[in-house]
Amino acid sequence: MDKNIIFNIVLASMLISTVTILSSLGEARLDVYVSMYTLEYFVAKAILRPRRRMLDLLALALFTIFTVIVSLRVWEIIMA
Amino acid sequence: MSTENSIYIGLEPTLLRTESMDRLSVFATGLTVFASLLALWSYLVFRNIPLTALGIGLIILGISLLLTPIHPIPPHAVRALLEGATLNIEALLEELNISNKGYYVKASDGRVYVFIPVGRDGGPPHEVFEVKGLLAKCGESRYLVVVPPSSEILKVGEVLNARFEEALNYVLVDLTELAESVEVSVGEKVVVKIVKPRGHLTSLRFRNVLGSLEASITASILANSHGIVRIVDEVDKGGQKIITLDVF
Repeated sequence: MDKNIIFNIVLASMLISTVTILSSLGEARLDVYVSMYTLEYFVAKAILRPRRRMLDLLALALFTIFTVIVSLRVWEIIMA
Repeated sequence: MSTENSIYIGLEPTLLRTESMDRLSVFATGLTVFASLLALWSYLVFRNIPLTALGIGLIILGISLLLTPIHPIPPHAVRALLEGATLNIEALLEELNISNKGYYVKASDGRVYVFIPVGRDGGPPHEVFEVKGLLAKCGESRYLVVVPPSSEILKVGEVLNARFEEALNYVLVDLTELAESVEVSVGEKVVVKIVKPRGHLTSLRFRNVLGSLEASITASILANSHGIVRIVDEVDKGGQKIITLDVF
């Protein structure tokens, strides 16, 4: 099977699993979900190396959001 | 069967593929829009975080589908093109009855050529060449100059800006799927271990002179960064190919 299709199937399975597992654990922080999505996206991308039509803007956006989330957490710890 | 029918039958799979891929793009756009509405609605109206997270996850999936190329060149097609390119060189070598091993040389125009000694092998060319025509003379040595099949792949951005091992991985594993993985060790000679090579080269003389398709690509990439390279040895062993290269 084409590795691009496999990548999307794997990503879908990981995202749905994350929502199922975290919501069943009662997780109510949105940043935890988004951080997990970011990690999963990059892990799947590194392993399966899907081709992209253009610059991977999604990776760029996820990385930026992840950086903001981590920065806010660090800021909270410093200010505490 | 009429000509019209033949043409139609020839085009049918392509049309079906285009249609199905377009449906994928429509599905991806629909999914992204639906997921955006779901995320916003869940967050603003229901205040439900898991549902919002599900919406965001579906947005990521939708965008990922949109970024997936509609018509990627299948790796087996790239392999077939490369294997096809060897046939002309094979015919030329057969015609001229040349069997010396060639030197992969980066010429002054930035392209990698293979200099194949004609008659006695007097070693690698030791001048910076401007390649004109099929034959080149350097001192007492004469060379047949051919362009290796992978010559133009070296101009792809991913190869140009990468280190040797990265470039080799990109071409052999990602682009052509000629191998499952690649390992490089550099010592007195450069040794490249190719795991599960998939090249099917029928041209025997090409293989003797320029190496197998995997070895030829490896030597071209190495010559592109190091100047002059020769394939010293190539051993197939238990689903692995071990290529030894000399850098001059």
